[in-house]
Amino acid sequence: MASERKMPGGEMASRILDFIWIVDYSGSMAGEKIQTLNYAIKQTIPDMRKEAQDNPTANLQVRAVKFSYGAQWHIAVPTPVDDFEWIDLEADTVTDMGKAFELVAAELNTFSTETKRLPPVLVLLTDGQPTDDYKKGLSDLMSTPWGKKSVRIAIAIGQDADQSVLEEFTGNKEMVLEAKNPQMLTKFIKWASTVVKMTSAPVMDGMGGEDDGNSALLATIPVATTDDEDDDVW
Amino acid sequence: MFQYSAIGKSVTGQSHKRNGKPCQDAVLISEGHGFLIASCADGHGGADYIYSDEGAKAAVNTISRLFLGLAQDTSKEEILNMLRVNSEIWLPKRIETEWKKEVRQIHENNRREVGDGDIYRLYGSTLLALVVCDLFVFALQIGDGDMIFTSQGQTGRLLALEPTIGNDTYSLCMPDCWKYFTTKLITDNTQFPELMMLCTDGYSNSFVSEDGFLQAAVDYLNFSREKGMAFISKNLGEWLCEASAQGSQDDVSVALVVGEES
Repeated sequence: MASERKMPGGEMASRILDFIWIVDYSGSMAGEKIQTLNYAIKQTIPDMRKEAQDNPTANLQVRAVKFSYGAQWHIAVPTPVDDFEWIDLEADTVTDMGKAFELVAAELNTFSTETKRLPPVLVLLTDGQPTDDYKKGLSDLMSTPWGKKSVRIAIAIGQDADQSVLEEFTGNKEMVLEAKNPQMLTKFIKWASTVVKMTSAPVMDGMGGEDDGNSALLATIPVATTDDEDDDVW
Repeated sequence: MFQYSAIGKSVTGQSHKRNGKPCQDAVLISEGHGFLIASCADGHGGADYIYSDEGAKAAVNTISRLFLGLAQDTSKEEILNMLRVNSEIWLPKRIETEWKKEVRQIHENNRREVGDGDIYRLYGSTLLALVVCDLFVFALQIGDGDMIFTSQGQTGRLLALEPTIGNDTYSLCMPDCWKYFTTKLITDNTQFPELMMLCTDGYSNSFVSEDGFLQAAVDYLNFSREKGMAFISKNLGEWLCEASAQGSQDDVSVALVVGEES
């Protein structure tokens, strides 16, 4: 039955969930690493779309930052996952991770806490060590309300990535995933791309509760199987 | 001086309908001994809070039973004094104790497993309540959800938003949850609002902006003045379903307390 008149209140829509890939395309990523990364992110898009359909409480919008010499938005416009297409990256020079953090921090600073949003998901992919002052960028990021509240996942590509830096980024050792080979990288990227369900569910507040909101996520992190371990390392 | 009446409604969210899950919200309007009590609660849902629909019902039952029981043998003046002196401690403590007692009873009656011993978590819920009589308006809240008012052209929050963002919420299931209640007591009857609305976050999260959400209170007041509470009552369920469908997809509960000049 149609309502007898307009609905009370203003315009309605589901809450925005920003998903930001933060991707290292430094020189050391050249070859199989960057190819696998490009391939894996493309492969996860159908999974992200399905996840978004299954979790309509979130309006999933995807974009990407790339860092090498400096950092730039690789896909700048928050893109509904149904329209999202990955643009292949090619490896280049150094690892200015701090610049990438600064770029994301500046963006999150534009989010009002009044706006109906879910905590953003930030997924960092890197194979090396920052060549710039990453601490300043990270500090900028963590000083924003939404940066502090974001779900942060780091995927270390190969064994040269600086684990301690990635732990600083995630704030949790268990959210740093070490992809020793292409198979594991693909698996971790696929997992990271489908955390929407967990980030859009209510959790008790970390200030007084028992759950900082990460426990549900941690329980689903894929573990390396024997087959994964046997695969060629980078 | 206002004479208050209230209506309330909970609807199952679109996402729960799709997944065959029950509504995990609860709403309750009760009256007696000169008091009107409107409350709503939002069970957290999800795998960690599997009985939270029952926890939400227990929450609204608890506040209603507590106040009606108190009003049976305590005058309004005495209750007002109790609220004035120490409403931030004794009442939340009573609610915590009573809710946990009820939840434990439900758990035992259904012979559910004790597990690691923290059964309260399984029933985790928020609670928002308004207690209204001719002497005072009293509001309390734990966890997310919204309590707003509109009166004489002013619209705003009766209780301030919790300082959390994203999906965080306080909960009745937390240890010493009484510490996380917020309360407000209004005793000057010239300041009693024309309309007060309490709702679970499934409603406020359905609006694009805070202004759009606050406008809902104004629209409800206008409807009540122009078409009467029966009109709102007739349409409320449909409006809330539509809000869930267009917005949050979550369960939605709203209680409206509206004053008529007496």
